[in-house]
Amino acid sequence: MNDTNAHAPAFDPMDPHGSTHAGGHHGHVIVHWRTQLIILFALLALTALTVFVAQAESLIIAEMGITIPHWVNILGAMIIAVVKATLVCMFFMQLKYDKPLNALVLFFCLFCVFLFLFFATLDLTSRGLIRPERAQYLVAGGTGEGLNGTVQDGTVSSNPGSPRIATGGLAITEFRFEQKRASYDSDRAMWSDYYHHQEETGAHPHRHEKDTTNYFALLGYDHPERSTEERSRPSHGLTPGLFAEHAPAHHAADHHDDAHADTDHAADDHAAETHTDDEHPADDHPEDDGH
Amino acid sequence: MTTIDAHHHPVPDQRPKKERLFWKNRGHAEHFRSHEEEFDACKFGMWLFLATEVLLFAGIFCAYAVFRTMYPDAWAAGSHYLNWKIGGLNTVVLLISSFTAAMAVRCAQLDQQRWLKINLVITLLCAAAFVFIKLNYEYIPKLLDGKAPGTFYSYPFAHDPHEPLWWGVYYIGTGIHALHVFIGAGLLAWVLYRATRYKAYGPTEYTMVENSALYWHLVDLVWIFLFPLLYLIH
Amino acid sequence: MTTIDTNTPGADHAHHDEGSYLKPKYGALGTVIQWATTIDHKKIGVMYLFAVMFMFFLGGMAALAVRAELLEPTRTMTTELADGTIQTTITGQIPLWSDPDNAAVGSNNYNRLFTLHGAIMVFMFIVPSVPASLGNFFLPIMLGAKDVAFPRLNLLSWYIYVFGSIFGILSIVLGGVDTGWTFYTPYSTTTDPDHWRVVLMVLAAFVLGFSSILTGLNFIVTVHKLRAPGMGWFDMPLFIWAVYATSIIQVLATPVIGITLLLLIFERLFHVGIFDPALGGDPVLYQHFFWFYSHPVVYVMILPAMGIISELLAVHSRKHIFGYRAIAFSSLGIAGVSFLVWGHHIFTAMGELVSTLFSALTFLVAIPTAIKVFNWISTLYKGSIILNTPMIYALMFLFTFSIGGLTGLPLGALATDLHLHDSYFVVAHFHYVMMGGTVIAMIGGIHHWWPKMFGKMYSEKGALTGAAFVFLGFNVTFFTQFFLGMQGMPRRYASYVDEFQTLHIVSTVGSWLLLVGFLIHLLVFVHSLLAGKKAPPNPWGGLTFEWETESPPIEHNFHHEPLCQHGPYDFDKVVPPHCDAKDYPLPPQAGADDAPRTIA
Repeated sequence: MNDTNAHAPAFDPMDPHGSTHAGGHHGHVIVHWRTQLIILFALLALTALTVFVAQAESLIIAEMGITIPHWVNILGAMIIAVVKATLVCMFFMQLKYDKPLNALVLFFCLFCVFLFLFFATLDLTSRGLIRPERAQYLVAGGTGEGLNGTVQDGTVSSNPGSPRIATGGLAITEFRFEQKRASYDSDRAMWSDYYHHQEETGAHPHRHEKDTTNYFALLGYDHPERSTEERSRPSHGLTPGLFAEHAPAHHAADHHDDAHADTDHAADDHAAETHTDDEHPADDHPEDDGH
Repeated sequence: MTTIDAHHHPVPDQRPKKERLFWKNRGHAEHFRSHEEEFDACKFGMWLFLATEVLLFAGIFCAYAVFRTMYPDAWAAGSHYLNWKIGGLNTVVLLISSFTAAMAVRCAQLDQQRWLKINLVITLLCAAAFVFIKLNYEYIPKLLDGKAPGTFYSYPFAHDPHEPLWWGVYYIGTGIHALHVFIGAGLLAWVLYRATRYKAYGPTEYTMVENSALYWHLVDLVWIFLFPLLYLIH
Repeated sequence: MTTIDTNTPGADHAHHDEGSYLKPKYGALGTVIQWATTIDHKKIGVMYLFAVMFMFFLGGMAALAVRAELLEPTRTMTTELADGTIQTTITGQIPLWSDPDNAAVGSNNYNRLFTLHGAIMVFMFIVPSVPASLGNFFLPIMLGAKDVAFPRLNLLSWYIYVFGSIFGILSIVLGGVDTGWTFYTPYSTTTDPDHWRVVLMVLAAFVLGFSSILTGLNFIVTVHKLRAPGMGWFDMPLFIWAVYATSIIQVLATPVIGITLLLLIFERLFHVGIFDPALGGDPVLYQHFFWFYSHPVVYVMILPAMGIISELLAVHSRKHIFGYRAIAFSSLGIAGVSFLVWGHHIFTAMGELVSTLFSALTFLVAIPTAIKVFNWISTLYKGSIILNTPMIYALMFLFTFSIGGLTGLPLGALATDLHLHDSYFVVAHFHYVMMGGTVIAMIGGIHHWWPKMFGKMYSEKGALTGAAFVFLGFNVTFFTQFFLGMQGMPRRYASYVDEFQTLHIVSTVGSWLLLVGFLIHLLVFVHSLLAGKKAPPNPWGGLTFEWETESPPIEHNFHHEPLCQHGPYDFDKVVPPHCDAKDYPLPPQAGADDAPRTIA
């Protein structure tokens, strides 16, 4: 950089006190404000870029239906983050002008971070790689049971005092959902609250995957401008493919006509006309709302 | 700290504090051979300390990486609850504050006392803004929704059973980062106080400004990685 | 811009009028305040020495209690009688602290005791032992500096250590924890319904980590910036190299235990789930976190001890150390390798792929360690060996540490580890390394530097008697445990089958011999402080800087800023300072000997 008025001399381990560079504050560099300002703008631009890349990716996934693998998203974001971090280290933290010793400290430390992340992640993801039949015993701490596991013989294989005991073997998310549903008269009322709350808080309402009978559409939160296949797919927001296994079940609308007859005729009409090719009957969804 | 050892100087400095701390009158600790050596030692010590901070956050990043690999769906769902606009705004705030912290060092080096203070004040305002945004637009609404870590999780509409784990990593990561924001702001406030009261920093005496700024940049660095990991990765 | 102070290297600072750093100045209260607020590295080193020795005493008492409990195979037997009633019999009611009607009380207390022993010995004694006490005292002096780079940070580190220890002791006073010193989940997240004991103990370890970080950071900067004029990296004593490598590990590994213990506290108080399989977490992840710190820290424990041994062997055999650079670089090598091998503590919990990787990497540790041992033995060859207490301890170290190191190999190999894992073989192995390595070297080092630290000579006869008891007691205690482990005695059990009783009794008797040995050493030291002969500045004929100043050193360490003019072990070229040439027994090789020596 031309903006600096001096360069730090190389650190000489045999001469730690710099006695050969007699006099003056030889190592002290005053970085020009213009350099720093350029770096700031570069950092802001990179921030915008990383947001743009992430947005573009989810847009491509949602609008064009192209599946982009996970690692593209991660790698892209991380490369930009590393570039930003390098800029901060070199210019704001002045490692570029500093004694190499300080940079060496950072490199050693990052090497340790790498080792730590690498081996820990490798172990937790490669258990059972060599002997697949052991995988179930090695995953998640040797119980072979994640949250999705089943409770057998009324016993839950988890720590005494674990929240899972208190929830009767349910995952805590399931437990809270059951609690919530018990406090409403009907499913419809609960989802009505849920979508309205989303709207009130300014969030773009999306159909929840647990909303198996698609009250989302019944309550009028649909996207009429979208085509049939993509109508309940968010343009951004929830995981793509989240609704794949819960295809919309519109005849449920007829089922509950009595409950919401005068709420939203437009939505009902719309739901009826857009779901002509129904392949998934609703009988795989529990009809368990309170009557 | 007062010591009876009289370790630093055989004859204690009798001048009033205001004069003693004025940057032109600052000497160096007796066990160093020169002012230059003391500056280098302090900065090297600060870098070593920053290395320990990076490794502290490595634990959080490791937990993130492990569970991201194990439960990608929970992580994707969790990430969608966060508003990238808020996170992006906080990134911008921190980047600007990092710039002003770097500028504060430059002002001390050039003996621009007024701009030194202005830069420090801007940095501190940014720190306050960061905490305010974090609390007001993220923590409080999320907690009111019941999106709390662990057993305090009471949000009924989770998409994935492992979401409480995501919130645990989220709160611990951002919480410890916020703690560092407070520590860094405290250091910079101390620098501001001494700059205002004693004119303690100038071309030959800016170790404290430089080291506090380094700490502040570290806070920025950690956020540079936390932002995409928490807000942008689906 | 000009530098404010223009001290040239070697300038005379003229501290002629100063007395010993131990000289009390302002009356009784003043002296206490002076010590409590001192930023003098020597005083802080001495305060650390007394603090860690107190912790060693506490941990040792717990160890003796554990051994006493194991004298008899306390067992609970449940028999269902013919009439349908169930009868419970407890045999072997040795321990005073157990309830004869309730076996669980005894077992729980036993768990608390070994946790107490482990936690105190690891976090409060052995990690700060050598670097914070002897290192603090001698690192700046051996470098020719007036103090460490950040003296106030040094004092802060001592206070943090004290507060951390208070937390730990408080947790014990409140009833103790039974998690084991490793705080493995789920023990640490589910036992102790009151929370506070476990949280306090974990907090203690967390706080002590900060103390360790500050000490390490201070030493690294001191070594880089405060070496005496003329002292290059390869003119430093090997003790400094070892402490330098130790400090690197302390700085890079300790923060991870900080975040680990924080996560553990969150897990405990909020059930965050990171370590709980019921919430999708993984308890083995805790073990990864923990051992990423704790394995490197094993070398924090042993590396400074290796540095001491390099000093002792060279000085007391009056010979240039063999392979100076090899020993120096092997210290750094051990520090580097230490970050690659943590997985060998959790072979039984990991998947096969990573276990195999870690097992292969583990054998790397043997290389730098063997380099050191071979160089030490070569140093002894044709030296004028003086069999005084420090030398005896150095030789003892070579013997016990080699056993400890070599028994590590079967534990590092996957197949044998499956048999030996969590057995007394492991217990014997790490006691041979930690106690037979670090503690033995530290006692040797204290004897070596005692005249310098306190200005008094100790009784050689008494110390040698103590050494004999320690050596005998140590080997009787722990060698038997290799056999116990091979035969299948698991660690951390209060009860065992009758077949093991003979060996357990031998081991317990050994622990009493060990106690006698330490008590003799204590008496020798007290006697030396009260009635010891005044020590000359250089009683052993050493060449490093600490022997150039007075015994005990003056407040600013040196009357003149020292200038490094010769290597730390040039016994063949230089007559040591403060030693008369005719009194000083030159090595026989230096005279008209058969083979001319070449010094590397």
